[in-house]
Amino acid sequence: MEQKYTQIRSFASTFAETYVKPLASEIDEHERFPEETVKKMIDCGMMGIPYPQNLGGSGADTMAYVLCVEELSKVCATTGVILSAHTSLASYPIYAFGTDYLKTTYLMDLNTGKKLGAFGLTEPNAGTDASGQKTVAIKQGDYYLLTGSKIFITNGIYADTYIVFAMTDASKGTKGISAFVVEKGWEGFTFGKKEKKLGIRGSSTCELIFNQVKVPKENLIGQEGQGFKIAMSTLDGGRIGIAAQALGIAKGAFEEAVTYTKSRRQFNQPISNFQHTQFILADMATSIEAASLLVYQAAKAKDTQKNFSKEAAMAKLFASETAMKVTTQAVQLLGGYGYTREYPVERMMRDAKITEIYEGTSEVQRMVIAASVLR
Amino acid sequence: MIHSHIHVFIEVRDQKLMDVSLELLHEANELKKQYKNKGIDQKVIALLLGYQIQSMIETCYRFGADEVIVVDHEKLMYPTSQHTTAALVQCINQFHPEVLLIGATVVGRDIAPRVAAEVATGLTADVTILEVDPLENSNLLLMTRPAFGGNLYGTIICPDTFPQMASVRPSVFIKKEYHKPVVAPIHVTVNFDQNDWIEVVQRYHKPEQAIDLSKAKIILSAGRGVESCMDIVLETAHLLKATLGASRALVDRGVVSKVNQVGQTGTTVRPSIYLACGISGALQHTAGMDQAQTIIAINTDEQAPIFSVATLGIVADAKEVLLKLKEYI
Amino acid sequence: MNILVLVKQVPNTTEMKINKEHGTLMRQGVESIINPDDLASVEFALTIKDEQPDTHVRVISMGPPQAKSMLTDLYGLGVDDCVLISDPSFSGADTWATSNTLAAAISRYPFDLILAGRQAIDGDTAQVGPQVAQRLGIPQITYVKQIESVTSTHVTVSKHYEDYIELSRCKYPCLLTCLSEGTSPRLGRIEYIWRSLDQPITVLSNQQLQLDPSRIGLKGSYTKVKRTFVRPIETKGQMIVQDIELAAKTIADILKKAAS
Repeated sequence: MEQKYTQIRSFASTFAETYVKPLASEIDEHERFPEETVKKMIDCGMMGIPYPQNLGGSGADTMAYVLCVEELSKVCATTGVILSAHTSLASYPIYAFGTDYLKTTYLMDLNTGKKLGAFGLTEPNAGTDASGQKTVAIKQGDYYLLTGSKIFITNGIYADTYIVFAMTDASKGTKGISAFVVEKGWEGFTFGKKEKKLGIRGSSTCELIFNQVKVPKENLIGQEGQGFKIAMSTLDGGRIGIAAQALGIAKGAFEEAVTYTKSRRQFNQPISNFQHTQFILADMATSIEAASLLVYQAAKAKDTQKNFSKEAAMAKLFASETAMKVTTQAVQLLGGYGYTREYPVERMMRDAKITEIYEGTSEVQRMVIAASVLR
Repeated sequence: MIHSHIHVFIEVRDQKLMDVSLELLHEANELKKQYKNKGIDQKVIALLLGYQIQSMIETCYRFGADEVIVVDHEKLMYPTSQHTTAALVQCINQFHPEVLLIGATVVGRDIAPRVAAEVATGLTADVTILEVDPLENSNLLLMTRPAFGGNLYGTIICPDTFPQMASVRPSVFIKKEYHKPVVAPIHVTVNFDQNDWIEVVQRYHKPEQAIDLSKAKIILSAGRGVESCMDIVLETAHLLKATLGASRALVDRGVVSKVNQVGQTGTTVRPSIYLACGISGALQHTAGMDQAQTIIAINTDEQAPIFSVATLGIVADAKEVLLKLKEYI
Repeated sequence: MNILVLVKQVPNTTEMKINKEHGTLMRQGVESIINPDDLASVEFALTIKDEQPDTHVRVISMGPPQAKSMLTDLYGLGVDDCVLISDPSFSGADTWATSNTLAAAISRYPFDLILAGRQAIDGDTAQVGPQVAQRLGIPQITYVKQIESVTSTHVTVSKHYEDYIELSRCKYPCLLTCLSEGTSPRLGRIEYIWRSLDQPITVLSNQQLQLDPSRIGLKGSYTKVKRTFVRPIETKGQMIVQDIELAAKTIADILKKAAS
């Protein structure tokens, strides 16, 4: 890996050890959003890693961003997804499809960290099938009137700037979807149910409710009807972030397992002496290595501007399933201790599960990959 | 130029004489004996710098000075790098000491390097062992000091320039009363630069310090075995100037605060002495303390795993051992 | 305002382990770090720069070429310029010879304030700061825990003694030695880290400094190391069973020995 990435990883790892790890267990236990960590990330210029400096970003690239998400997730998957949702899902659509006005008004603040971002696509009846959007935006003069609701929104009530998808022309199906930038505090924009989750419990996940919210027409991203394309393109990138999160979780659990099995003694020897333990560790390490190659390949593909849908889907599919497998094995290796909250592996196992679900389930990834290979 | 005698900087802050200076007077007398064995006569000379310090001249003789040189000036009420350095440099240029010892206090460590650079001589910092070279062909002062966080010791010499200067760590040596005859001190007048470099806006006492286990030199650590006699543990810790540590079991039971917890889920420590009382030594505890230089473990259970990492293992009731230990301190 | 910060790369002595069986120091695999007190000085300098953005922070280090990696890391924190004083003829220097060399390099640059760490964790002498100040003929304040205020002409700091604190004001130019206790140094910013490898590090050898060879390096040192040794370690595993008297006495002996 190039030396500048080594520098970035080393920084991210120190950041994670210093600020993130000490809070990981507590924010999980209390389902608390780590605002103080976000503040630290802002201080370190982590909120706009792959975006240009003239837009308030760091001028680095996707690879650098991926390494940061991975290192954060290694100790706390909650913190990893806060950064991932903000960077990949909220900032990207404005960066890639927004007008100069949207870039200076919103992207600048997202990149500097003055504002936190979120992304609202999923609805109670529109998950994998995004065309089932019930949220509508009706144009009235200089405004769109936005009505409907979005669920499972990461960064939920802590975000300031929301990318919201809504039907502007229901008759056109997915081609009738448009994307908007919506600000917290606008009249008619409220929050609904806060989800209680199995994992990433420190992350804020809630429902967004829009009741006749007046969205200025300048806040339309791209053209009317481009929403679905924008969403899919954004999710391609988002998947790399989630793949990095999964990779981090797997690496974190693996390190715990190695440390533990080397120090835990049974039958007068460390349990790492037993071949069964060794074989499991070998399989874990191999899966992680393979996942990392896929994740970094996807990041590189995005940085070189190739079409990377397939690479991103493969990375997310493999990394998230690796995370699930490795964390489960880690809990098993730690035995009774692994099942308790004294050790972090049970949390990592709970956190891992979501990576197989959000930003496209594993099944969706297989659909994307299949579509690509059958083309 | 002939350089002779062992000079000791007597540090006075606001008419309060620092203990380390008296410790150095005693150590200077020990060096004087070593020189004497080699047929060299050296005097122990106190360099007493301060303001209105008349009454302290006698103290210097009492604690081992053969002669006292006094610089009494308002500017020296509190030592400063500007004035104390200037005064010491003038004394050195006037009296040509062979050896100059300075206590390694905040003040000593501030002025000693500056003085050494000013008179162009070597300086050894934070010395803990002083000795006159036992070899026949050398009369050099051997100054031994810890380095690398106390992992390594070095013996330093200053072979070509004078004085041979050392700053010496406080509390390493003891002070001793000699009651040497009081003779009239030599008064030195120093003309200081009119302009003060530094203006002290305010001087105030330090607030109580929070505990920091990771930096503690001595840790007295308590486990379940001493839960019933924590009063004795705390008293002993105070007596030994030790920081209190604790096992997770004791912290979980609310007997001791979390900040005192040693181990994997607490603080990792590496003191010079770790005294584990009534701690069985689960891996999660020993992983946080097995790098201590000396580990003393007291436990009633001969099979306790703590003994596998202990330098000294004591199979006994910790309470009884601590009570007995008080008699030896 | 121009700030110079003096830093040193040191082995991480807290990672250093003693081979208790052989009584030797295990230095292999011990990472090199920036000396903690020096890092605090960098933090103080950058805090001033945060508040007064026209402040220029230049870092000066003396050491082998490997120290460049530390300077690259400091670019990642946001310092403006890094200088490495490096020449085989400078090696083996005691604090006096080091200070001579540093002072010569410092004289090449403009400065109002020089910040240095109180002491380095490998040598623990606390001498280089004051001796550099003496070589430059400027005032010093050592044991600075906090920089309270910075104006265009003066700096006000709190200096910590054993039992009291002095709030002191000093006119530029002056040198401060800083304590790491209580500071939490920044970790850097992505944009600085991303660029850090492309930033130039000025290397000064004696070809540039032209110092008299008798005043630098081992040759220019007034003090010499006669020998080094590792503190003898108590042999592991002495056991005392149920003899309270002997136990107490042995513990007391160990405590006394450690205090000496």
